[in-house]
Amino acid sequence: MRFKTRLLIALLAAIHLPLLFAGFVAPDDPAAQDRELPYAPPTRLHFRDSSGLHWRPFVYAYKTGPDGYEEDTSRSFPVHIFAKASSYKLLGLFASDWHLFGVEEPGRIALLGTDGFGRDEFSRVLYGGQISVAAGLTATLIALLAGTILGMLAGYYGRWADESLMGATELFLSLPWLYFLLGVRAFLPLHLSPGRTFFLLTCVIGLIGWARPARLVRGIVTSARSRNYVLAARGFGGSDFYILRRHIFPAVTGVLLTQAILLAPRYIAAEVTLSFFGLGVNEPVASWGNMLSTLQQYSVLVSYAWLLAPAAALVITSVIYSLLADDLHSRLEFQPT
Amino acid sequence: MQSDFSGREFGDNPLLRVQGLAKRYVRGGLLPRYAPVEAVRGVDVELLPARTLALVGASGSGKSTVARCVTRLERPDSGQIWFEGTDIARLSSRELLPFRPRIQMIFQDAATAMNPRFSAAEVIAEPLLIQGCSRPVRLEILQALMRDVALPSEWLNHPVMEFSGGQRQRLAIARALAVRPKLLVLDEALSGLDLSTQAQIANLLLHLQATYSLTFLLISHDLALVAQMADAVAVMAAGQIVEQGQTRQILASPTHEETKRLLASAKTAELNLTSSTVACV
Amino acid sequence: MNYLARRLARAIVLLIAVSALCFLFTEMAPGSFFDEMRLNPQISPETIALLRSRYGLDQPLIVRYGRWLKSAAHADFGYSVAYNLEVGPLLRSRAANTLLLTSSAMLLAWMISVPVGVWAAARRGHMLDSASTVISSLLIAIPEVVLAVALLAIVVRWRLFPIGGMKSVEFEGLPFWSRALDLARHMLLPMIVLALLDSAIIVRHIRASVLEVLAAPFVQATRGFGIAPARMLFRHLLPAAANPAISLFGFSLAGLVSGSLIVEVICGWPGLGPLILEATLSHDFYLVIGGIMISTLFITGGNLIADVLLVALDPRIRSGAPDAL
Repeated sequence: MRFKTRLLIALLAAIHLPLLFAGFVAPDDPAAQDRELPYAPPTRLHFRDSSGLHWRPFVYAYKTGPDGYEEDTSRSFPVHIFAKASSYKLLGLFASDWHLFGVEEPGRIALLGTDGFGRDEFSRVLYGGQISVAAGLTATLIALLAGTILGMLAGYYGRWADESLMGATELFLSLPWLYFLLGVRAFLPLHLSPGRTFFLLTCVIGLIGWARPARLVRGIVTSARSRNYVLAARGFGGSDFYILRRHIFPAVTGVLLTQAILLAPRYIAAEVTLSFFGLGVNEPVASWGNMLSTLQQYSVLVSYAWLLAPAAALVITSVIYSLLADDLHSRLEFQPT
Repeated sequence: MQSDFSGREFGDNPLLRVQGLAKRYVRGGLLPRYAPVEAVRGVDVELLPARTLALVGASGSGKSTVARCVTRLERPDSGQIWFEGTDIARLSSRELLPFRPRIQMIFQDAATAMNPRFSAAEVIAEPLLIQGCSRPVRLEILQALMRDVALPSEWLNHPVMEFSGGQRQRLAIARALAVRPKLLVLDEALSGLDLSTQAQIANLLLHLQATYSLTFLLISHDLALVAQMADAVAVMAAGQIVEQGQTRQILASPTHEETKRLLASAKTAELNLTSSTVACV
Repeated sequence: MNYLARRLARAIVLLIAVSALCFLFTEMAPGSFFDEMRLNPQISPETIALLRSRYGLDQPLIVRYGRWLKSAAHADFGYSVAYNLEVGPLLRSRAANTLLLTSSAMLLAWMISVPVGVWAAARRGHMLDSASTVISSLLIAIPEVVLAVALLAIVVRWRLFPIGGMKSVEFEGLPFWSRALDLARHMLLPMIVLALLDSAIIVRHIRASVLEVLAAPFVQATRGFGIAPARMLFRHLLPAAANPAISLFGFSLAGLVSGSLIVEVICGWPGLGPLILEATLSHDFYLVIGGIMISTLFITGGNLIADVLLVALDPRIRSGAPDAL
């Protein structure tokens, strides 16, 4: 594999892993409000104080001054690696209260500041990312699964199965996807438990996007099934299932991979968009979308720039996916057929 | 699979008898958009065991369709195909299963006849795999087959892409032999090869025919090859047989226009009518 | 002619299918406008029942669909429950606002992209080419929501121009040109966002197709004749590179109504987007269906126009040459 590809995959992992282990990497509970500390700017890390340079960075507490927040230099809070703080469930299974880093109470370390309720933005970006990225990836999975099965069946069995698939995909591809997404979302109850909302959201996004993968898969399957080696296999008595599994499906995996890399960022963005408009995951569960929706107030948007962090996170994620997609595309173009 | 075949062992009952075979192709899906193409319109042929029948004709004459019907890769619209006494023309896929191994096809383009991602071993062993052969048995058979087609068995693990055209054709033959067929349909199997490779493969096939008492249905447009390999020949045009009989006779004194045309376009200089057509040893 | 007729027929079938699909979804909907009304203790159940029958919502699905289809044929798209107005006029006025915005954005986008794309292809490897590739890749990767919010932040922070709404308060009292200017200033932000997003895609496609044409043998041959670059460009290159551009143009047309929802909502432009969003939030379903229908109409129309243009402008397709499509 080329160096560039490896690098991009590593970057992608570097983004996704902290999200997966959000509980561990985040210093605070994302839902923990601190009404005393709304809209606090990011905590600054210091390495030097009156006694000189230190290995371990430290932070100061927040103090409300005449022009907003200031640092209270009376007491310094060193940053510990592997600190014990609020408990959470790692991967939703194992209870733990170890965090990657933290400071002692009553110090706060808010690397990206706090939001209107005094909640740590950094922790919320991680937890929110968990939701948004998981929604996007799950939706991608659903879309590809549906598209592959239907595309393979239509491409392999041909005739009316094929014609009906082409008709259905044309229908779905002609829909204004965002409007339709809204429409479908509209007809579902607005206020559900976060779990059900998540499930519904991913299903809706995924099921709208099945059409293009289905078409691509169908194209490949149609050309593969008329290959002579398929006929030969049939001549040996190979069943349809054997042929689909051994000859047809491997030909499809390349397209599935590129489609996955292409669709994932779009579906993540779709979740963010829906949540932004209040149609996705709602408070108190954090998602990049609903975190950004607070920015619809101009005053907030202008004064507290650190609240754009979820946007930055989304952009970084999308860009890496996009670069990887381009890279894969150019690699696959030069494959010997 | 050695046998001291003597040519008359199975008597004169034909291995394969095709009667009134017909097939049309209709293009377009739910709503047919084009007029149906009549590929084959009533064909009668007979194949005697361990002999070679050649089916010749220009492109579009329907000979490939006949080949595909005989191997049941297509379903004929009407007619009968008697193989060893059973009519396989209209059997269902399930009923066809025991017959599949006995009739095998070698395609024109060996490259497309094999999954490009497979290794040589995977290609040849595929029919054995489908039939449920155990691994040690498969390995043994693989070695024997590679010997049969004169390829070194060290090459078994190489990907198919690394083989030349002629070598791939050998692999295809090995694969077909894996299931011990009685009838081998060669659908322009030597057409994509250069002349010297063609000669090699033709000789290989003849040798195998002698060794294993194989019956060949040779589809070709190359009359020189036909002269070398076939006992009998049937000439097709526009979906029907216009002339058939012993090769020597047909090529020496053709009666139909089509046969004359085909002969004229063949390189008569290379057509050696006095060479012995090896039909039985 | 035959092709046109068939294409048109397919488009109509598509529209009907879409409307059927929309109606089907309402059947699966557990929530409705009236459920929320029911929760309101001030409204009696009788009133609700009356309203329901008035809006025809207590009829079986098929009947409702049939009635809607019939009235749609008369350009009457039902009733908005929330606004208490007919859907048709409501959609019309908002759609007009949207179209104003999107067509200006589309114009701007194409005006920028074509020269940039051609230049980038002509000066391949040059700094401008690399710069435009990087910028367009970035723009494509950045989600629309983020771009809109980011640009909004910049505009609001530095008070560059007014945002929100279409017109200032003093609008009615201003003379014509001032009014036009006021409108333009309000439209500037959403238009720029849309134009940027579109340009990124258009530049890519134009550059790719021009590159392809430049590599074609007939171009090399023409170069050998010593032809002037300008003439080369207009008489040979552009027509050849036009095909993909035409399809793209068709897609641009297709997205005129539906492509700007996010930007409209974020920038406060009173177009179709915010209307449909509100309708979604209040389960106002005739309005939502009307919105979907009108955008699908544009999408199928745009695709149809693209196909027709392709056929009309490319002689190879008309004659059915093998290498045409």
